[in-house]
Amino acid sequence: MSFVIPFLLVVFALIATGALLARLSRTNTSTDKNNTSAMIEQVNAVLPQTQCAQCGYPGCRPYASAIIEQNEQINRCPPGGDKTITDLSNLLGTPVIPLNNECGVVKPPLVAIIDESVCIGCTLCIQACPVDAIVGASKLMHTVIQNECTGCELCLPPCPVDCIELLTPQQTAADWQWPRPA
Amino acid sequence: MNTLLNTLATRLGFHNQQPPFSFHGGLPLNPNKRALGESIVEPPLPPYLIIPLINYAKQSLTPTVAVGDSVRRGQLLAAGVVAPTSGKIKAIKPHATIHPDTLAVNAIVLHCDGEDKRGNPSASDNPQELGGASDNLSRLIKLRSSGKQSQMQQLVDQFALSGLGGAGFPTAEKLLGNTTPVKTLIINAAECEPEISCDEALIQSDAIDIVKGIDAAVQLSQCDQCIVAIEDSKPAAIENLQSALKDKPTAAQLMIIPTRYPTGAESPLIECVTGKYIPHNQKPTDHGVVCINIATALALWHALDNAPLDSRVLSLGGQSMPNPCNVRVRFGTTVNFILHSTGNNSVVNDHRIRAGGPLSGFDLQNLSVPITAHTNCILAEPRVEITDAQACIRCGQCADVCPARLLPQQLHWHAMADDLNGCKQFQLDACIECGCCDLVCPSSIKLTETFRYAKSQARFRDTLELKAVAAEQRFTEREHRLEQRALARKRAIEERKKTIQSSSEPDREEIKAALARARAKRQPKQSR
Amino acid sequence: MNEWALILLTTVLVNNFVLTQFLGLCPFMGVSRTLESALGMGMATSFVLTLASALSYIINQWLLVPFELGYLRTISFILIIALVVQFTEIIIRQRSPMLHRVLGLYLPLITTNCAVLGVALLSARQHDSLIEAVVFGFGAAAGFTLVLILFSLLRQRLAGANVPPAFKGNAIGLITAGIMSLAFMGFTGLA
Repeated sequence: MSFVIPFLLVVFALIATGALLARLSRTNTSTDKNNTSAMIEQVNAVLPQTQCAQCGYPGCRPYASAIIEQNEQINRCPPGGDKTITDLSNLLGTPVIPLNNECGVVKPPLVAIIDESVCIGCTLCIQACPVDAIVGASKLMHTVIQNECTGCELCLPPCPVDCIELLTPQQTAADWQWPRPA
Repeated sequence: MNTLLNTLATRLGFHNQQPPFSFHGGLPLNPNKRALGESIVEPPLPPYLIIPLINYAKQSLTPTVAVGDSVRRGQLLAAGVVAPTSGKIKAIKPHATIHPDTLAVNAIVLHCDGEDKRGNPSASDNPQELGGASDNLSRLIKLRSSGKQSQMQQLVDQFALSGLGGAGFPTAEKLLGNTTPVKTLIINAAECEPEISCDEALIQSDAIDIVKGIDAAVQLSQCDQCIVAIEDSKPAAIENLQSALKDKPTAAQLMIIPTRYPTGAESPLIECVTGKYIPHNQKPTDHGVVCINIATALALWHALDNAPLDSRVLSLGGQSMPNPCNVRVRFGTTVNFILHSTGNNSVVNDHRIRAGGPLSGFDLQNLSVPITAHTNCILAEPRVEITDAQACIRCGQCADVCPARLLPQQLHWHAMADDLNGCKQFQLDACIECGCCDLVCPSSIKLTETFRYAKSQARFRDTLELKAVAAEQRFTEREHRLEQRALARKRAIEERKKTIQSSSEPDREEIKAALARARAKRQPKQSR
Repeated sequence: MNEWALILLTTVLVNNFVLTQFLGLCPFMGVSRTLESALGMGMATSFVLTLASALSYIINQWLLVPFELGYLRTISFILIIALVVQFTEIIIRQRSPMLHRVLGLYLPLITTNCAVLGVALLSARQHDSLIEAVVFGFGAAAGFTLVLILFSLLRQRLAGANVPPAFKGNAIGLITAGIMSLAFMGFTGLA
C-alpha cells in the first residue's frame, strides 16, 4: 500500500496544475478581446470590400468578425472568388473549400450605371448604396461615381423604375494587363 | 600592371573619357544598325493624323479643342499635346494605338490641310513674348529662380516635351521639378538596342543643335556636371559630337562607354557612368542624377525655339525590311503610311511588324496605329515558328545577364504559379524587361513575357487593393454616420416626449381625446 | 560533452523522429503548408519536447522508479506533456493569436503526438542523466523542426508546380516526404 499515497499525490498535483493553467488561459479576457479584433482586422484586409452582403452579413467587416467569432465558413464571398478563399485558408490554416453557391456566383467586376433619362429621383438607391457611391437629391437625377462603385448590386432591388444597370467597366490603358503566356 | 594603373587612373578621374564603372549583367549584341543611312528620310505629310489623348501615366486627357476646329501647328490640343500640323479636327473618338493588344483610346483625328502653318493663336496675341530660344531659356530660368511655378508650368506645357527614349516621361519635370539638387545630368546617347539608330542619325545630322540643347538642359537643371554617354560602336557620331562640343564650350563631357546591351536603359547607364546602383524602389533624382535622351535634348532646343515637340526620328529595320532607313515623322502618322511612303509596303501583309526594338518591343496586330513620342523603331521580321519552351534546367545564365540583379528563374516559377507575393519577394518590380534572359535561356523560355504578365497582374492587384481600402473607409464612415443619425433621432424623440409630458394639462387632455378617438377607430377593424 | 554532441547529431539527423522513425507524421503533413505555420509548430513542439523530456525524466527517476510505479509511466507522461502543452498554448495565444488559430487543433494534439510521447518514454528508458535526457529531447525537437521547415519550403514550391491532377495536394506531399525520408536514410552510419 506504500505506493498509493505518492501515486495519488502525483496524479492530483498534475491534474491541479493542468486545471490551473487551463483556467489561466481562459480568464485573460482583455488581451483576448484585443487579439480577436486584431484577427478580425487581418481577415477583413483579405476580403474584397465590395460590401455586397451576399455572404449574409451586412458588409465585409461583419463577415470577418463572423469568421473569427462564430467560426463562419470561409467560402461565402462570391466577389472575392477563389483568390479570397485561398487567401483566407492560408491566413487561418483551414482547408480550401469551393465557393458556397447559395451566396452567389463569381462574376466579372461590374460597375452600376443609372439611366439618367429614366431616373425619377427617389433617392432609394442612395440609401441602399453601402459605400456612398451614388450622388443626387430628391426629385433630381442621380448618378453613380464610377470610381467608388464596388458593383455590389444592392441598388438594383430598391429602384422603382429599374433604371440602374450593371456593366463591365470599359478597359482603359491604365488597367490593361498582359495576357498570360502559354 | 598596366591595366591596374589604368583602372586606378580612371577611378581617380585622370582621363574622363573612359567610363570608370560597369554594370551587372548585360550582353554584347551585334548592333546591326541597318537603318543607318546617308541622311534622315523626310516623307510627305500624311492626309490625316491620329493623336491619342493619353499621357505617359496612361491617364486619359481632356481635349481643349472641339470637332470642327481649325488648328495650327504647335497649338495645344490637350495638356502636353500639340497639333503636329495645321488642319481641321474631324473627330474625337476611340482609335487603336500602338499597344500589344491594339487597345483603343480616345484620340483626335486631324485632317491635314497641307499648309503646315505654325503659330499658337493664344501666344500670337502678344508677339513680344515669342522671343528666340535664348530668350525663352532665360525666361524659364528666371521663372524658376523666382519660384513662379504656375507660370513656368504654363510655359513648359506649350513645349509638349516628352522623353524620346522609350518611357515618355515628361522631360520638363525631370529637369525642373527636382527637390534635391542635381549633381549629374546624363545625356543618354547610348542607344544600345540592335536595329535602333535614330539617335545616331540625329547626332550625325544635327550635332550643333544637339549641343545647344544639352547646354540648355545643363542650365535648366543647374547640374554640377553633365556627361554625354555614347557607345564605342558609333565612331562617326562620336566624332561629330566631339567637334560640336569643342565649338561650343559647355560643361558637358563626352564619355565613351562599352557597347553592351542594355547600357542605354536608365539604371544600367547610371551605374555605368556614376558607379551608383540605384535600387528599383528609389528614383535617380533622389541621388541627384537625372538622365535624359539625346534626342530629347535636341527637342528641348527646338521647343525653346518655339517649335514644340511634334515629330521624331524613328528607325525602320529588321531582317525583312526592304528599304531600311531612319525617317522623321509627325506624331500621329500611322505605321501603314510610314511603311508605304518609304517604299516598304511589301512587308505589310506577310511579315511580323514589331514596334520597338527586337528585344524590348512587341508585335503589332494592326498597322493603322499612330506613332507617338516613344515609338523609336519599326521592325519587319519574317514569320517564324516559335520554338516551344522546354523545362527550366536551372543553369542560372539568366541571373548572370540580368542587369537588375534578379533571379529570373525563381521569378518565372512564382509568376507562372500566379504567386504574386513570391514575385514581390524576388523584386519583380525591378525588372526592366530588357529581354537579356530570353536571349540566353537554353530552354527558350519566354521569361520577359512572363514578367510583363506578372507585373501587370501585380499592378492590377495593387489598384484593386487601393480601391478596397477606399471602399472600406467609405463603408465605415457611412456606418458611423447612420449610427449618429439614429442616435440623434432617438434623442430627439426622447426630448419631445419629455416636453409633452411637462406641457400643460389642456394639451394632455387633447392628446388623450385624440388617443381615444384613434383607439375607437382601430377597434372595429380588429374585431373584424 | 562528446556524448551530448553525439546524442544531438543522432536525434537530429540519423534517427530523425519524423523521417526515420515515422513518428509525429500528422503535424508534419498538417501544418507544413506555409513556412510561418511550420516555424510556429516547430517552436511549440521544441519547447514542449525539451521541457517534457526533462520533466518526465525527473518524474520517472525520482518518483516512479523508487516507488515501483513503472506501470504508471505512460499515463503520468501524458499528464506531464498535457501540462506543458497547456502552458505553451497560453504563450502562443498571447503572443500570436493568428498562429494560435492557424495551428488550431494541432496545438492541443501535441499532447497525444506520438513523437512527443515517444521521446519522453525513450529518454526515460535510455538515458541515465538529466542533461542527457534534455539534450535528447532538444535534439528530437530540432530534428522535427528541421524537417518541418524543409518540408514546408518544398510544399511552397510544389504549390507552383504543374502536378498531375491525381497527385495534387496531400498525395504529392506524401511522395515528397517519402523521398525526403530516403534522403535522410543516407545519414545512417554517420554516428
